[in-house]
Amino acid sequence: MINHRWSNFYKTTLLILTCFLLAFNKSDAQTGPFHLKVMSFNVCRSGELTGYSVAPFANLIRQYQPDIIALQELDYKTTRNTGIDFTTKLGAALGMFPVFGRTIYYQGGEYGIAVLSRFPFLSVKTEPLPSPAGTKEQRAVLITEIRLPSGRDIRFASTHLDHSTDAIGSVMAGALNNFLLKDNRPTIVGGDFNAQPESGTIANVMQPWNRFCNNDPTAPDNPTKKIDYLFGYPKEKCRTISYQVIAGTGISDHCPIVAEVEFE
Amino acid sequence: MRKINILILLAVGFSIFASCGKEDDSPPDLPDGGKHITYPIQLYSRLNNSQLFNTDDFAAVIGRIRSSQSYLTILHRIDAVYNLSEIRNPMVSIAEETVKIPVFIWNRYAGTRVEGSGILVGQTIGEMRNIPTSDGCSYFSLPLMANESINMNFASITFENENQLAAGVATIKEKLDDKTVLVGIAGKILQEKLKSAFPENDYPIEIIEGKDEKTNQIIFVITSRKWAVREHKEAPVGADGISCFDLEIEKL
Repeated sequence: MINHRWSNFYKTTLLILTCFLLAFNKSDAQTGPFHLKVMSFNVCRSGELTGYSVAPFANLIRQYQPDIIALQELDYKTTRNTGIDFTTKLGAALGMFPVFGRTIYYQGGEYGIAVLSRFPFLSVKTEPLPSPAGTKEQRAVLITEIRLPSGRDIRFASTHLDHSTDAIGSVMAGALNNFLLKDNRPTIVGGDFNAQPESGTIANVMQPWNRFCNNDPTAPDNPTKKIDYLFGYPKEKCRTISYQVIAGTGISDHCPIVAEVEFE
Repeated sequence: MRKINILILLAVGFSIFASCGKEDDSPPDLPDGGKHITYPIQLYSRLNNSQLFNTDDFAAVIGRIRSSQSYLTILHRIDAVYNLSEIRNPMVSIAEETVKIPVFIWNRYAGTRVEGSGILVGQTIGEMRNIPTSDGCSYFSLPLMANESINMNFASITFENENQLAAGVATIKEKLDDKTVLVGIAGKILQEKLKSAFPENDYPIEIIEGKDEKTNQIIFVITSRKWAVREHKEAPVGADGISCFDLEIEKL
C-alpha cells in the first residue's frame, strides 16, 4: 500500500517536472520545429475586380487564417485606386502588421508588393531586382524578418517576377536567391513568378528551394496555368503539411495559394 | 631666456585660441528661427509604461493626428494582440484612419500580446530595422527619405531598467550619425544614468518630463549637433490620461 502510494507520488512529481520543463525551457522553444500557415495572393491591379475595395479580400483571407501573406500588384495612393493605401487598409481589416514595398512610381502614387503578418517585423527591406534588356517593368523583392512568439526568427519575402521571357525571369530569380539564400535561417518566399514549373526559372534557378506547392494551376481565377508559388529554405529542413489552391474567388485573376508548413 | 618663455607662452596661447576657433563639435549658432527646416514630431504616451489604450476608442488620438501636420507620430506602448480569436492591432487601425504608414517597434511578447510602440509616417518605407539589444528592448531605426536620399534617420528605444540601458547605450552611440534623431522613453529613475551615459558636451540630449507628477517615465531626444529640439509642449488628449507631446526638431 505504502509502495503504491510512493509510486503514485513519484509519477505525479515526474509529470509536473516534465510539464514545467516543457513549458519553460526557452532554448527548446527557440530551436524546436514550428508550424506556419502562409499564403501568396496576386490581388489583380490592387483590387480592380472589387472596385478597389479591400473588404472582399479581407473576408476571403479571414476564412483561411494565414499567419503571413505575400501579396502582389498593390497600389499606394494611385489615381486608379482612388488614392487609397490598399496594404494598410487590408492590414487594418485583418488586424495584421502590413508592409508595402514599392517597385515603381505609378499614376501619381506607387505600385508594388506587400507582406502582412500576424507577428511583428524585426526588419523590412525592398530590394530592386535586375532589369536585363527586354524587361517590361522594374521588379523587386520585399524581404522581411519576423520574430515568432516562440523566439524563432523567420525570413519571409514577397515578389512578382517579369513575364517577358524565361531568360529574364531566370536572371531575376537568381538575384532573388542572392538576397535570400545568405545563411541557413528559415526562409519563405511567395509570389507570382510568371513562370511555369517546367521553365528554367522554376526548374533550374529555384532548385535550391523546397516547393511548398504542387503543380496545380493558379491563374486565372478559373485556373489553367501554374505561375504562383510558395518556396521554403533550407530545403531539407522544411516540409508541406497541407496545400490548397483557392479557385473561383471572383475577386482576382489569380487564385490565392495557402500552405501549412513545418520547419525543423 | 625670458623672451623665449614669452614667445612660447604666446605660441601656446595662440594655438589654443586657434584650435578653439576650429572646434567642429561645438554647437553651431542657433538661428533666430525660420532659417532651417523644422520637423514636428508628436508622441502620444501615458509615461507610466502602461498600454496607450484601455479601450477600443481611439477617436481623440485620431482627431488630434488628423488636425496636426506632424512629420512623424509615435504611439508609445500601442500593443497588439496576435491571437486569432481576438486579433487586434490599434496602430494599424489608427494608421488607416489617419492615412499614414504604420511601422511597429517590437519590444517583447507577453502571452498573446505583442508589446511595443507604433510609428506613423506619411511615406512608404524602403527599409526598417528593430535590433534587440536586451530582453524587452530593441533599438529601432527608420530612414526617412526626401527626393531619393535619406532626410532623417529616425531612431527610438525604450529603457525600463538599468540592464536595458547598459546594453542599449553602445548601440545608440554606434548608430548615431548626422542624420539621426532618436526619441526615446526611459524610467524616471534612470535619468541620471542616462545623462552620464550621454554627457551633454558630447551628445546633445534633451530630457522632457510630463506635467503629471504620477508619471514614472521621461522622454529623451538624442541627436548629433546638426539637429536641435526647438520647442516641446504637452497637451492632454481625451479624458483617459493620454498626453500628446509636440516636439519641434530643427535641422541646423
